[in-house]
Amino acid sequence: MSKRLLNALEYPEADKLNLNDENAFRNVIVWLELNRIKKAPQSLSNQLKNTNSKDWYTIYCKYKDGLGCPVLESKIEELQWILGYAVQIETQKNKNLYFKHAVENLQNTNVPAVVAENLLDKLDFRSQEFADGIKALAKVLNTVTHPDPLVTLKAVRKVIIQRMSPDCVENPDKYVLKGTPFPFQDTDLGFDLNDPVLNQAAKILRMIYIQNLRDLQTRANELIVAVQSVTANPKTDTKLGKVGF
Amino acid sequence: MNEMFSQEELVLPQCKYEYLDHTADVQLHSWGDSLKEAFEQCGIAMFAYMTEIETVEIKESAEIEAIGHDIESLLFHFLDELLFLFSCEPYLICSKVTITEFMCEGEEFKIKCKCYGEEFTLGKHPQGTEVKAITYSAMQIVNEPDKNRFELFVIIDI
Amino acid sequence: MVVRQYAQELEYLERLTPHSWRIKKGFQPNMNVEGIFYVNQTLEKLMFDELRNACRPGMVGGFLPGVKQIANVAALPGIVGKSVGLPDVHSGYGFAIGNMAAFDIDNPDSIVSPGGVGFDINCGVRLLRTNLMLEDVLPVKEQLAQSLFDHIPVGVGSKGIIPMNAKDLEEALEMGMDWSLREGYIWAEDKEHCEEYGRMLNADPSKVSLRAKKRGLPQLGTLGAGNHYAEIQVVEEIFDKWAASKMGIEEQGQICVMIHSGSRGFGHQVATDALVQMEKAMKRDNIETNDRQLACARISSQEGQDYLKSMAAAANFAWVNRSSMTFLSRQAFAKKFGMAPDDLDMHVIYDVSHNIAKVEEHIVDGKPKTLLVHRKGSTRAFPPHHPLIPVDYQLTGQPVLIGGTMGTCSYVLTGTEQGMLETFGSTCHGAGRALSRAKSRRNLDYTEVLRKMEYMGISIRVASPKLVMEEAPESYKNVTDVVNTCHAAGISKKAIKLRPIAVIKG
Repeated sequence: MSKRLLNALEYPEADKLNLNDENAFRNVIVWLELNRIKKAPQSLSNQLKNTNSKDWYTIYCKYKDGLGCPVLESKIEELQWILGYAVQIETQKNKNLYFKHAVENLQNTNVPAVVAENLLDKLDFRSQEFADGIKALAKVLNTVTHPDPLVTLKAVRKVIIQRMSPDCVENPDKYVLKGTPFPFQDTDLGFDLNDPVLNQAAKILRMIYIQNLRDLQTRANELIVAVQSVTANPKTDTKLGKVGF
Repeated sequence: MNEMFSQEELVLPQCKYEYLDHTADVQLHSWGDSLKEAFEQCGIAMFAYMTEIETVEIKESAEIEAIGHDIESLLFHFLDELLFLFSCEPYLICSKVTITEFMCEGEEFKIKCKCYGEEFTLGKHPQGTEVKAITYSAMQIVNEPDKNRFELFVIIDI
Repeated sequence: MVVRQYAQELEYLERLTPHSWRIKKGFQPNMNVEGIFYVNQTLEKLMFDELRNACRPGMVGGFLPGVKQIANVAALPGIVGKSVGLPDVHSGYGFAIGNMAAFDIDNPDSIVSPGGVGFDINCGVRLLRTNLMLEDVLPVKEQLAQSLFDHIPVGVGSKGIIPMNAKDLEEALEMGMDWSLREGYIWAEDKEHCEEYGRMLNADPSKVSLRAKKRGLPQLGTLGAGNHYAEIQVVEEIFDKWAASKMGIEEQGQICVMIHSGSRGFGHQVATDALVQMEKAMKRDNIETNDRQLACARISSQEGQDYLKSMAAAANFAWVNRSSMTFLSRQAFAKKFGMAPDDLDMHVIYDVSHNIAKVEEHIVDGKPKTLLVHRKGSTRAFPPHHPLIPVDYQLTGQPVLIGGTMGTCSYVLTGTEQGMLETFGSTCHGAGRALSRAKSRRNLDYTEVLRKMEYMGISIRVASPKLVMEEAPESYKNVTDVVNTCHAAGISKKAIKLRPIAVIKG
């Protein structure tokens, strides 16, 4: 990991480095400060440069405390922290460059930035009028109401976002989940609350939980596939072995 | 490039081993006129389980060294070295092993051995059973010079 | 060791249920807990015959009978619950094969034993489904078998055909199936349907000897020999419609592919190296066992920790290995049918490990405990709603893949709550040997075995035809007996039965 970061920071010959070697360690710290971090006052950085000094370690401690390095167990971990710090500085420096490549920005370049006054801010969420309005809206959408209109609003919002988008109205198949039916009523809940109503509620919660989990897993899979489009390059070479004889 | 071997090196030893019954695995039983010979035979017995040993020509050789802290561990490491010779570069399957140095008494237990055979080649060498590992289970080493009895029993995990 | 007559030995065994027997303390010395084993009538007879044979005077065998080995494992330091023998149990190196034992991590005396994992670390079974039906495959069955054989390297001395160098191997050992994913050999969904998501996070390749790596490198992506195989199977019977449907199995006649393989020479060497290390550790820490083969070390010791880290690397090796063969199988099918593997719906149903030790949470005497669970020839079988099983199987329980032997059926079971309580969520792994290899070779004729396969409609491609009798169904316990016992005892539940139509073997 350290080597990868050193490579990213363009430390010369990072691959050949043995970080457990005291001299190498000192040189890396000095190099990082002089070339990448540049935070130490002149006097401290001069002292730090003298890697053969017998006080070097004391100077180093002063230096890392100055950077705000937390108390860590080993020098390697401290180095890891300092490397992270240096990478952060580098990233900040080239922020605009990286930002251009960020996924969100690639997609949303055409969206005009509009800062408008939000009428909703002026609404009185506690008024009877608001509650009645939400109730009516829920009824239209065939959604169960909750005593707290804000909770109902949340549900209404979900229904609208998921099911009322133009694309969804046109192609409901794309959005309405179709699975094979499963007799979940007959499945074992895994526990018993000694109350059929509670058990039923618990079962519904389980189903919702499982569906959330499925969504999460699907998104994880999508992420993996996105990464694969960059990294994957499967090969076989039948010359390497012998098959089918 | 084939190595050059003397006539003497190319002579194959007599077969002095057999396979004994075992539930999941196989037990090698080898013997000889000396403990050294029994060791050599045990090595060949293992190779012969992996292919039909008659198909193996002597084209290459390799040297191995095995060290143990007692006679059992010497046998274990000896066979482990031979298995290693087969499992990766040079993928050597041997029809003859000659122990050149054999120390099996006192402080040091050590074997130096020259192994003769060729690279295992699919198509030329029929595939036998794969040897996963050598085990200590029921390992017996009969070393009775006065009765001229030298025998080894080793179970190999397959 | 105590020498007793067979009749005296029997006093220590007591029938608990029609399908289980208790091994009382005292059967072997120093037992910390009792033993239990699961059998039906047929298997019971095999079990007791083995014990009776061992009691005959002058019997000097290599291995103790399985039931004695289960009892010896019950004498290991730190064991909790019971030492469990599954229905396919037979004697092995130290631990019996089909033996499961859990050790309390918080007990400083607890041990880890390579013998409790086996030489073939993370040997396991993977099942792929397809949307093909028997009638699609029958006309091209021979070619399909040949195509698989042409894609998957098998047998002694075979080498992998996926290009790898030492650096790739290091990465694969650390990353497991994440490596296969990164390189594009498998699909994202494959990882989801795999124990541990195909990667043990505590793997540390630096704890593995160079020797093991050298043995492993050329063998990655090879099937191996012995009881390993790749089979084209057809769904013969569906016992649990809903569980099957969750696995994407809708009807009889659907075609599946089963791959049974492990960590090859890599795992074997890791185990060998560890055994040598542990002999020393046992002397140093004064660990006493009933059997020298039960070499072990305290979990907290350097040797114990090193073994767990290198075992995890070997487990990762095995997953990458099965993944590489998944890739090759998909290629073989895709070429034969001129369709992309996606369109053939060749998803991994599940991937199980039946030679492994894992850290798991279990309830012992009503209290949650962290245990190191050794499963040797035993498959994890977690019940519905367990957090460690994939979301798709939350309602059905974990699929458990039980590979048959050449020419016999295979099964898919699911885990149960009862199994979780009785056997720490473990069940059988396969058929288990009944005849010795030498005996098989003496009593069976290989041409006869091959002819029988043909008669049963099974295409067969073997690297070493003369050794097929060692793997012939007659050499094994009947897998149906084994599975039915697990089902009847309630430690797992039958879901699907599969019948082979083509076998590729070493």
